[in-house]
Amino acid sequence: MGIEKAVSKNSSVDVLCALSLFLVFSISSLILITIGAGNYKGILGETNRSFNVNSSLHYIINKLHSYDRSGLVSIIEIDGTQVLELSESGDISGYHTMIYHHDGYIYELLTSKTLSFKIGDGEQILPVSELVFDASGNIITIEITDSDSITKSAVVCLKSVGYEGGINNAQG
Amino acid sequence: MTKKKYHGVGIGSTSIIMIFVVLCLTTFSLLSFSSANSGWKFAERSSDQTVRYFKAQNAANDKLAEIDAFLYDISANEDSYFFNMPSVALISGVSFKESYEYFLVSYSVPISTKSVLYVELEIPFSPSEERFVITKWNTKAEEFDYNDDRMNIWDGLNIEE
Amino acid sequence: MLKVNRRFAIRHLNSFFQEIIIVILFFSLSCAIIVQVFAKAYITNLETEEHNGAVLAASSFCEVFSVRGSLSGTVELLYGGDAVKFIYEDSVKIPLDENFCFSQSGSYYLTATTRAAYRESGNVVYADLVIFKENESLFEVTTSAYQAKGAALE
Repeated sequence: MGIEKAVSKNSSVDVLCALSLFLVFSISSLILITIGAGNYKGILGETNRSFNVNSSLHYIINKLHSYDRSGLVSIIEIDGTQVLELSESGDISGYHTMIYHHDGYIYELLTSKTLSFKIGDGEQILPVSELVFDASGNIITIEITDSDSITKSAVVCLKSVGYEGGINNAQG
Repeated sequence: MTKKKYHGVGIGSTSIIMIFVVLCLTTFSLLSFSSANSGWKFAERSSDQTVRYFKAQNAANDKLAEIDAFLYDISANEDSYFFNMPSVALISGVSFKESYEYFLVSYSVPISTKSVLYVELEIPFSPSEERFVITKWNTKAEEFDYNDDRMNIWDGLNIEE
Repeated sequence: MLKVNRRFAIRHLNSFFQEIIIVILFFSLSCAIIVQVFAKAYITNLETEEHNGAVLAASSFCEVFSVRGSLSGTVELLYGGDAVKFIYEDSVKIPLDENFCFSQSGSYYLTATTRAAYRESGNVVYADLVIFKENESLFEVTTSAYQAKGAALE
């Protein structure tokens, strides 16, 4: 009877060792999957943030390049928000494109100058934390801040006449 | 006598866990690489676009220099300045127009197959210190010629019976 | 009977240990490849960020140069008066930090060399720009500016 008990005890210890090894293996695997998922999330987040900021900058740069005509670019302020106004023509009844930052997104709206405009109108383009325009003569500095508070900036110079006195004093 | 059962870990459970973990990690790694690679491709495309834009700008400046050299030459003689001005259109790729207040000279430089850099200059009717003023220096889409979208149906020849 | 049961248990445990050894071996081999893919993704991300920063810095420089037409005017506007001392004759080499802002101890460099095509009516000034890090070029571009001269003498 004693021998039976001893042998049974040995068997239990063996099984316990195997089970604990299996448990360690399972927990390590779980931790590894968590680390892998965290890595993936980090890389994806970084790629998205970089894409948002750089796309936004290039988008605004390309917009300014396509509107570099006398007196059609101006930076105005509506309800305390800076708005980049790109007019299709010098007519007061023509169309204009408004680009501004609101509620964590860059907004764009192409509308008639005769219609009223309020912040929040338009389409959301890309998510960024902040968008700042700084104009000095015919030189516009665009600063975009992402969700990690990293700011990137780009400079665009308008070559058409009329901006020497400043963007908002442009003469068409 | 009852046979004692083995109470332990079944054979194969470790392999199943390993297969699952390797699949998960492989998926995560490939997705990460794919995401990073697409970000890189986008960066390359935008840098190519930047290089193309400034290449077009350089070509536009070269053409501007050519036009200004012409204006400089004809400015020397105020009497024939007005009549010589239309000859600016002889410069390759340059268009000339006359409006009520000034001459309009324009040209386009290709940036890519789909877009061009369009330059328009205003030139006064008489020689002045400022020979030209740039009124447009903007990018725009390449204009396609939609007029030649014809289908030949019948050439109009009479069919002899 | 006891011996039979014990032998059965031991055989089972042996199989389990053999299996776990093979599994761990295979796992370590596959992890070697998986970790390399993760590392490649991370490095690609870093290189993309570098490249994007270089393109934006070069683009800004080219834009200002295309209007100002001179290295001193461009450098002073973009990087402040302190950076002007890095101009030497017709070229400049400005140190930049990892955000591509001017920094005396930066590891990135923006070099620009100017050349001109002279005419009686005006000059086209070109600037060949290279942004590099540790002798490796990140981005190269050429920009230009046209500087018209005064009216023709009669």
